[in-house]
Amino acid sequence: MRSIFQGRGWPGAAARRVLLVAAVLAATAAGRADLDVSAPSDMPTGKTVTAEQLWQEFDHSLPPGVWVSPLESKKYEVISARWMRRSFLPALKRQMDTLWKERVPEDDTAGNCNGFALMCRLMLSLSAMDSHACSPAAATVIVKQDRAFGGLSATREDHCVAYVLTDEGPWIIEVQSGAHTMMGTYPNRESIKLVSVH
Amino acid sequence: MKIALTTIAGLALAGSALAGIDPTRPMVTGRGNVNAQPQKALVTNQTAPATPTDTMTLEKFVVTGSLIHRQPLAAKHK
Repeated sequence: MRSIFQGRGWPGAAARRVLLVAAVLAATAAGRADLDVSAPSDMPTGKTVTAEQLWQEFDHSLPPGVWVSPLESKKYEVISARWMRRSFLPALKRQMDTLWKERVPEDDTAGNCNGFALMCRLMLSLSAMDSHACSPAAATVIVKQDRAFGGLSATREDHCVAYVLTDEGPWIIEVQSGAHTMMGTYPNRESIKLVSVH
Repeated sequence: MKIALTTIAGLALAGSALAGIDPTRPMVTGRGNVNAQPQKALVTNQTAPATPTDTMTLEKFVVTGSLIHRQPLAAKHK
């Protein structure tokens, strides 16, 4: 086989040096292992709610006294529950597995429940971008973990979970395990404190 | 006729409920916009509001991080 270096008149020693440098750079890059986030690309679209309707949904499904952040978009995409179960939740679990392998989860760091709830929102946003959809009707929720849910015990700490308005109704997701339930059956519904959409 | 009246009344109620809300401003469930009740809204982290029974006090939420520990976390190898 004819070498590409020979074909372009490269001397053999110089070619070996280039290959050596490339090998060292490749090894260095492999050692750094950047974190990647990926989201499924097949989000169904077409069902939306206005900002006023999303507020009404919060007002009806949450207990009184919960703070809701300003809603800055005119319309929000209602997410298909079927797609959530078939595509999104498996992708979310794979993402969390990757983070566990990278030893990211750690108390009092960016890799805590708050960071993972934001990551869930980011993944939904990426899927929505790919489908040219409206902003997903999703939020992060601060809640006092008075009761066990989704694999996390009753820590009685302020905890962070994800909210998604699906076409079957509002869901709460424990991002770290991928467990989900309807808002009406969420055991910590009464201790929700704040909902942040943006 | 009864159904029509009920529908009209329902729409009127829904319309009036939506009319008073500005979703681009902070809201509290059961109360509506915070800025619609300036005398009652108290956005602070102070511990002793003047009238604790009728104020909306935004706590300083500190998410302490409740993690599901799948495995013992060891220090990262560098």
